[in-house]
Amino acid sequence: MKPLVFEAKNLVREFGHGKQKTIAVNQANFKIEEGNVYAIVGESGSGKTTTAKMLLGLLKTSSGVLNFYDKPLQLKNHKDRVAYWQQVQAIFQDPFSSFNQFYKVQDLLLNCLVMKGEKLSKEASYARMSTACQYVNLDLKELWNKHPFELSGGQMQRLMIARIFLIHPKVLIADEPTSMIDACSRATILDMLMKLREDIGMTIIFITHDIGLAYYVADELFIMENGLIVEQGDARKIIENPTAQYTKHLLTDVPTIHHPWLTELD
Amino acid sequence: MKGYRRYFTKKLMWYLLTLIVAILFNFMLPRMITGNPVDQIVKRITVGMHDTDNIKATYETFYKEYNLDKPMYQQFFIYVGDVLQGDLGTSFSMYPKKVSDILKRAIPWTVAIQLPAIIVGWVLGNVLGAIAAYKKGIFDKVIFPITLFISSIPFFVLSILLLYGFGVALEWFPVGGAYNRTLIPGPYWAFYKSVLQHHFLPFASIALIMLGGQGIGMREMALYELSADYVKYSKMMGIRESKIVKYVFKNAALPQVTGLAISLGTMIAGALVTEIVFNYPGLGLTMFKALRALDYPMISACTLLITITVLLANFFVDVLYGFLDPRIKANQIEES
Amino acid sequence: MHILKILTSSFKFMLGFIILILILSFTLLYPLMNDADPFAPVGAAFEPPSAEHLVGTDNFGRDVLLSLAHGTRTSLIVGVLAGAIATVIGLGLGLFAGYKGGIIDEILMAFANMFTVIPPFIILILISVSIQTRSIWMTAAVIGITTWPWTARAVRAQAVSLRERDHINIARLSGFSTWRIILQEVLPYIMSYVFMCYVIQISTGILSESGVSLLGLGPLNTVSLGILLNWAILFEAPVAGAWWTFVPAAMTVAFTTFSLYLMQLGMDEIFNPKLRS
Repeated sequence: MKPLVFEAKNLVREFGHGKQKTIAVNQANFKIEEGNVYAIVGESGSGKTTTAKMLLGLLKTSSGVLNFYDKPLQLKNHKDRVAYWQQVQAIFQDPFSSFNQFYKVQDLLLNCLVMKGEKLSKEASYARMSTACQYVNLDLKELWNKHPFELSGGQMQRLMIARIFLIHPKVLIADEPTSMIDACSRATILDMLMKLREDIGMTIIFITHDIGLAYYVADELFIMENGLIVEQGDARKIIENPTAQYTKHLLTDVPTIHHPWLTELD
Repeated sequence: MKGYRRYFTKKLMWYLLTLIVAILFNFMLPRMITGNPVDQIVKRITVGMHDTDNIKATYETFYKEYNLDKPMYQQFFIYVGDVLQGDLGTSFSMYPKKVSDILKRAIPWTVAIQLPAIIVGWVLGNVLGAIAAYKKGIFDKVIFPITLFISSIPFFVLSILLLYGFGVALEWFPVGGAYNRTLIPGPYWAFYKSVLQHHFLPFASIALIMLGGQGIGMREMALYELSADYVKYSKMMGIRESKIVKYVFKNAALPQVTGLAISLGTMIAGALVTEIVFNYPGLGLTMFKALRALDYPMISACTLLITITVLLANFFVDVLYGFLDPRIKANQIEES
Repeated sequence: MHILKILTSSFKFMLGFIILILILSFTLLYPLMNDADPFAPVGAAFEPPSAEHLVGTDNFGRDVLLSLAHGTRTSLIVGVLAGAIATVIGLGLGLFAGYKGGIIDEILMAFANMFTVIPPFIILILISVSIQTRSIWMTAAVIGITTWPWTARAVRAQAVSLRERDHINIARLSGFSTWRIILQEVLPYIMSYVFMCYVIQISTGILSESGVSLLGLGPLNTVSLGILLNWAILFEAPVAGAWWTFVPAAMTVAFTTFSLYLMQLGMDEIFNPKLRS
């Protein structure tokens, strides 16, 4: 059995109080094994982003248990947090808003190295950053003095992947990493992420509304609707034999061009 | 109604806390000066006295009377106790008159100009602003810049200009005082007429500034609402225009109530300066004289009174707002 | 720069700016032409405007035009200083409250509201009456520490709306400290807004100074617009018909605050496409 990266028992997250209380995540139970690829699928408001934020430690849980490598997740001080985020990182949906427009590419990459805490010489830092950029087909020399808004969406998202490469986390949470990328570049981004996973043994959790994409990348799926996990398990089994009404509904929304691709048995 | 109860309690707690802070300020600040305020009275009363023992005895009597021989915290509790009983101390400059007596005679004049001015200003301002937004055209283009200017200038500027313009230059209105000094106050027409004549300019200057501020705000709100989708849909659905107008102004008026709360503090403080300019015997002029004479009990009492009034007014407006905004009852928002 | 171009295209902003520049020019240039001491009597009391004294003399026989120039300068200095202090305090508290949210936000805003509901003017009076030294610096400092809540609230609202942006989450995930995020990730995005707040605070500063000086609690041994008005009232200039001793001063205050107000309106239209409610 592979080690459990995350384990959630009766996880709940609420917002507001009184009549207007919303339960964003309602009694979620799941296990995340090391090295696998997962996808949380659902429409907007299903609770998937809230779950992601709790896994990232950006949002506190309202109740329930959330374990990280068998220990309850508790980030009490700055040191705890930095240590946690060296192991758990994220890529977000909109590459344009993921960057601070006032700083240059070099600063973003430098920050990653600083976070690791190692003291590297200027040359060594540059070499590392260069390797990271090469990995995602970017030329560091070209981008060094550029500001984020001078790059294309695809380039920026790849830069984000380079950032992940530098930090070398155990877990990556990818929240809709391709929904704001041109369709033709999507596969590139996804393939890069999957390759990175293989090369450094990363666990990836995708958050997406696109069940087709989820099938393309994931080993296991969680289907969420209105805060509840309505179905979970092996990706292939769910797609071929969906049990929940909502899953069936998601599948029928996939454009016909994908259907033969989905029902292919290998 | 649970949402409203929560809102109300929270507001009440906060206002009580603010009240305590205000009282503390009022008590502590004047007492932090170096040098003894009692020296003043003693100097005045002992003018002509040469016997140092006598002077010393006088000094000590006053010292005790103003409780300056007791530790600060004790003085505070005595102060609070007195205030709650309505005793605001004895005036330094008008010794031995009691502060509350002096204030009792001044307050009615202040209320007489401020209350109608704020109400008239608020109502007229909102109406004018709404009309300007709805009618547009020349009405808007002329009225708007003027009200813009008026709402951005301080009170005393408008007061001084009105005083000089209508009082001295045109001589339409009397300059200063609440009524003609040669008349004895009483229930007869000439007296009332004199009072009204003296009342108009100070009243007008406060009302105009209120009008200006409200007019600008209302016009903005109304313009915003009028361009909203629901107005277009309603028109297309054939709902009568007067009904649409009613809804638009209802929506636009709500933030104006909040605006009223925010501006009340500035209004009341600023309006007092108007009194000073017009030599009108209200709270403002009393405070001005007290400041010049360094009459600390008087100053303290005036500031406390002003603060409490503003606090009460704001509290009232907040409570009212809670009723008017349905979202508070539904507990949907923690007010900003 | 890009922003300058946008600003110069706003009618309201430019009109306000031009009026302000005219007032500033008068303030700076006139004393260069007439370097006499504004406190020195140069004629009889309450002399009406003449060729010799363009705005006449006041109750002590001093040249009013000169007093006006010096007075405007003092008022502007106090306004700029007080505005700076208020903006810095408001900025710090507003950013912190807005970014952190939760109970910290509630406490700080409750505190800020206290300084609004207890009229700042009153606190100003109380402090001015109690302190020994009354200099320009002191007055500016006192005004600064009582008028910051406006900026605090405005900045807080901006911080709240920026709080959940992705680049801030990435900054968190990169282990940045709270203050680093506030200063590096939030502040640059609201700089233009902060400038607008500063303009408003300057206006508030000038108004507060004139008000407090009018009451006789202003800086000692100096002349400011408020002090000019105070003299006019104390020495019954309006009744004496000596309009030149107070109308120009009053109008200067009016036009200064009006110009700043116009500038702020112009900027608001640019930086805040939605109307503030």
